Amino acid sequence: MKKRNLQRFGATLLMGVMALGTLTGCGSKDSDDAGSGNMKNEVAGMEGWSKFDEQVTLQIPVYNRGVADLDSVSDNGYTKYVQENFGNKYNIKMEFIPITRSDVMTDYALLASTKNLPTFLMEYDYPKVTQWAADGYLQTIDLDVFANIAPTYYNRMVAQNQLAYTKINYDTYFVLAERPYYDTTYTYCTFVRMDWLEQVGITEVPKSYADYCTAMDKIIEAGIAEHPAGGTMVTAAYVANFGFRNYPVSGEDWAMHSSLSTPSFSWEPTKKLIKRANSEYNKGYTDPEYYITDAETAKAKFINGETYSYGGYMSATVDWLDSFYAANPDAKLAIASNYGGVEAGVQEFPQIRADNPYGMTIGFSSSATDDEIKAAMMYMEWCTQPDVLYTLQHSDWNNYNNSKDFWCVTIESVKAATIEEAIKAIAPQGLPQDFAQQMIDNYYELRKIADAGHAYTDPAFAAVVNAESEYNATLMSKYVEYYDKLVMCDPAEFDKLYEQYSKEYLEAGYQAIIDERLALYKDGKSTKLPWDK
Amino acid sequence: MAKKKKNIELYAPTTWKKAFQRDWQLYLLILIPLILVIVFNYAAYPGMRMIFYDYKPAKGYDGSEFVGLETIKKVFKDNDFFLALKNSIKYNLLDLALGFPMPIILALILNELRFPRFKKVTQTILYLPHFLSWVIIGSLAYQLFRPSTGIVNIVLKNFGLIKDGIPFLTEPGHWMVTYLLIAVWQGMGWGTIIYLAAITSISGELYEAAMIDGANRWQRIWHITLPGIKSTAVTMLIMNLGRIMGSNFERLESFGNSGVKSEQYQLAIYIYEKGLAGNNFSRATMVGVFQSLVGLLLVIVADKVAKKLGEDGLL
Repeated sequence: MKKRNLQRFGATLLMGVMALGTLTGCGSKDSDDAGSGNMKNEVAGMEGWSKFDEQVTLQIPVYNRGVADLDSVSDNGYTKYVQENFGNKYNIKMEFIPITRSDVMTDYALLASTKNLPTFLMEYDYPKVTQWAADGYLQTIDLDVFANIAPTYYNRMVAQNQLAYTKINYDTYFVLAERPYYDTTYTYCTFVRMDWLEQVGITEVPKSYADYCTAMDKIIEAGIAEHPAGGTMVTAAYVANFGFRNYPVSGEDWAMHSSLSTPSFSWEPTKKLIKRANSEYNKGYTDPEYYITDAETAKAKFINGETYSYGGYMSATVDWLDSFYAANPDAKLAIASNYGGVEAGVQEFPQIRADNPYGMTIGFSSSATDDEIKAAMMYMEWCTQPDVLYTLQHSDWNNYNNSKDFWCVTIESVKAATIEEAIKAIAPQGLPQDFAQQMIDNYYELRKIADAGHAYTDPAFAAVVNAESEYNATLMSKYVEYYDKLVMCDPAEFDKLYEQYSKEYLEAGYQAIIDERLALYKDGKSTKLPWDK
Repeated sequence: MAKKKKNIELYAPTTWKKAFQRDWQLYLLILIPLILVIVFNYAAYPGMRMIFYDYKPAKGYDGSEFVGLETIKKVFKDNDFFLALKNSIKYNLLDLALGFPMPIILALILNELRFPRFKKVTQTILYLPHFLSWVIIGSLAYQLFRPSTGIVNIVLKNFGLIKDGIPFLTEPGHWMVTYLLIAVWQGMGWGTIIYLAAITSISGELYEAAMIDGANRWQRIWHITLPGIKSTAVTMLIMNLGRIMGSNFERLESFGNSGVKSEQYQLAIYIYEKGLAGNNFSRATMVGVFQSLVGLLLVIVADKVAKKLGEDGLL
């Protein structure tokens, strides 16, 4: 009898625990107590900070890039250092929230729907952060308070003319991190097979489009590669058509079409770009299967010695360069010239897309308390201190060495006394070739282009472009379809097809987007081109 | 007399109280799946009111704008929705036409195998594709069927059977056939389980009697095995009809490319592109509810038809 009772009790307990476990999974995070009212300190800056009476939880978003062999985003050398040297000192519990790099908007939407947004939200793309402001993810910021708690950070924003980017519809929503040398894109390098060029009697990297075509023809003719230009499927909305634009481009055209979020299909420079791609496809430079080739396969093709060029962001360790030399120990690479696309009547001189004059755009969660926001501002100021930043950028912590995702809250790249030093810090190490000098030369080539006024970025709108969220995904899908059809079509049919697809694209929502952008531009709710200021 | 009384007690109508006192452990056991269904299925139902709001997650229902039937009107005015709907129905009907009979045929063939070890190994090999995700299957398919560098085309070319590569996955017509046949390959083995189980419930005496009467193997299949699994097949058909409006994003995305957009564009893609990717959760919910309602309607109609034809039905 006793045994049976015990069994019954056990069964009842088990059921109860399982049922409770199911139900507790549906709970949501309790919101913290109301804020502390006046957030300003009597003394501005770190000297005025004091330990919080009650522990404050500061949730920091960190991009999870899905890289293998790394420690957890939320528990590694960085997180421990920050907790020990900042959190413990001010009674702040640091929590690092992983955000999927390839699906930022969905991750934040899920966190918002469960009332679990991190204390602050950050992103590189301005349209995304304006969307968050419009959708109620963010609260407004009192910049006086920010200047009081984080004066180093704030004064830097003022010195770098970033205040124009802090407002949406006259309300302040953002603070902005620094992006050194933003107008030169020197951290991205395209490498070409110098040994192939030398094999076909060419002694330097192509410095015009005619030179490039000659090189491709000779490489194919010599049987070195069947389709040396390779190619990958289109996955990004950014259309690299800066070189094909008129100079100076008109402010209205720029406002309507220059964007990272919607492909500028139907615009003349995009037509020129795709027409060139069509020509290269029909001449056999491009891999006929490029439209079903993803980025990883394209990388593998370069490593396997099937394609002429490949590019990426530089750091002390570049995995694909390591793999390339392991597979091709006698190969010789060179950094491509920025003049390789220049062609009379099509691309008179190189123009490049400068980065934004700021790094991360940061807003504070609408559900964060005053204490949490104060802790976030303190954290941003603390990270900006030179000694702290140096430690964050140069410590080798459990495979996370130089992972900017942990210090992008204040700056986007390592800043040094000279550009030469900054480049040496990110030049790939341990390879048969040393690329530091070529990277420095590449920087000065880019510097020359930027100084000539040929590097500029996209407009930032101080309001949400509603049609973008409505139509962007559809337009992206249509662009990929039209792009591939145009690249692979008979050159004689190109113009007619481009016109037909442009009409369909405009009707599918692009017209609504460009109308809205133009109206905002005319209302003065956008940034201006350097030559229109 | 005592025996009679006991029988009366056994079949006498019982009460909730008595039933619970007698079998409370069983009721507690059923409580777990019941709670799971209530929490994860029915508890989500209030979320369907999202259709009538311009729903923003951070604002919740109170802060989001009430838009009435606006979302429904937008969806039904959208040509892309009708393209996705047409493609979904077309492909689900083709999936059904090809995929539904295959497990039955395969189960009949497996049932006829007489060497037990061979039968078991064959069954295991046939089940395995079911456990592969669509992402892996899609990736393998591209490796096999690329027009120039796919293994299948290379082999065909080397044997001189073709001059140019067959665009198995890059041209709409070829894509349709490849896409459907790969799904048959993936699902047919797993689908046989239920039919093999149904076949085992058929009395062996029927087969013995038929053999004595001189029925050959084909006649035994036709007159005993098939009628024996008919009610199972009808139930499976009704359940499959409920999925006519369904759409598998993982499968479509794994086989997608720009060349076959006109065929690949089905409801799951529509929901992702026009709903989730643009943070338009109201539209995604609306199309999801539409799919469920039509699916439910089809199940009810199919069930009634089955019952009129003398079958047991599902509901």
